[in-house]
Amino acid sequence: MRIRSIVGGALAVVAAGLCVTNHAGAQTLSNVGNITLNASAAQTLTVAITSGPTVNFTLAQGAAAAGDVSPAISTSWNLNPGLTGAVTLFGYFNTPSSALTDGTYDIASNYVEGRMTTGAVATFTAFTQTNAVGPANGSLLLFTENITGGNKISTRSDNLDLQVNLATSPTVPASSYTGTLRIQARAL
Amino acid sequence: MDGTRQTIRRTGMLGLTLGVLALFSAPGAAFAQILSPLGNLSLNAAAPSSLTISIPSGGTMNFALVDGTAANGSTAASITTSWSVNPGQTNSVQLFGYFSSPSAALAGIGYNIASTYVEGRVATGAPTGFTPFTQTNPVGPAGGSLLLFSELITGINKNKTRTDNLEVRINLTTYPGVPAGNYTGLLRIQARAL
Repeated sequence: MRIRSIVGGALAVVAAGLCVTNHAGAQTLSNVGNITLNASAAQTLTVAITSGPTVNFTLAQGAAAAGDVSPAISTSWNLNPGLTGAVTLFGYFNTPSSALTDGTYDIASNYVEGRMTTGAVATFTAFTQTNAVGPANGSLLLFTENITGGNKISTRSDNLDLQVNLATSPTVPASSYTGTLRIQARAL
Repeated sequence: MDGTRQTIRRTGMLGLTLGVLALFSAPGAAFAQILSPLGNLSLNAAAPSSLTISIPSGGTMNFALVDGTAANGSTAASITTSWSVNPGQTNSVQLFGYFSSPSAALAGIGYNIASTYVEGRVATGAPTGFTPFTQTNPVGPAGGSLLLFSELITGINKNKTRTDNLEVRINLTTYPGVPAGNYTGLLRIQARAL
């Protein structure tokens, strides 16, 4: 009986093995179909004022009043060096003759000066340039960075120092003045 | 006398005629039928297993990549899988998608997108949620494929055609940043019966 059960078990194992072998050897592969994937990553260019979006000045007749904070401007891009030569950052006023106003009296942009020590403006310079961005005589080039393969994807942060320089201005009436300085980058 | 001779002559002619008839009818009985031994001709016909796939639509997908987000393909690929298999020899039919070079699933000028960031989903198949092409399967290279469906074979579905839609997206949620540009790649689809 014992021998019979052993033999029976062995036969069962062999039979099972044959079945497995039969399946294992029957692999069939189909033809291969191709799906073409086309992806495009567009060029991007963004700016963000990460701190200091509101700058306050205490004006003093015949003197320069520095802003209480230097806005931090973050400029990010993802550009194709084959298509883009440089990224340039500008600040400008929509209406240069009225950079700040109280509704009655205007302070022109030639009295508002900016400085970006990490950029193109090492010393305070008036927003009176004519650039590709902003109105004539109302902007200031803040930095220019050439694009190469090394910096085609980049983020940089720069601080913009501002002052309202009334050293050569006629007396400014006592009042509260507000204005909006616009920041925009350009890739070309 | 003449009558007797005539009778004898007629009788002789009759005998001759009968003899000739007997001579011609005799051979049938003389040749016995002979049958040869049986020869067996074996007829073996084999209908081989067949397994084919086709992509009747969606053979080209376009993606508008955006850093930090997932870009869906412009269309889903319709994949038709047809088979005729022997249930005694085949347990299941499986469909796979894979990239020949997982590290460069899509390639641009000087920059590649790995299959880690390419995800597939087959609502009627195995990955119902988007899953990257990073599996290691019997079809395709290690770390570069995705099982799309697996169907057990029985007598009922041994001959079958099924169609599944494969949705693909490129997920840049965790990607460091894809340089602006154009990228292309080939996703290969292959079925396997085992």
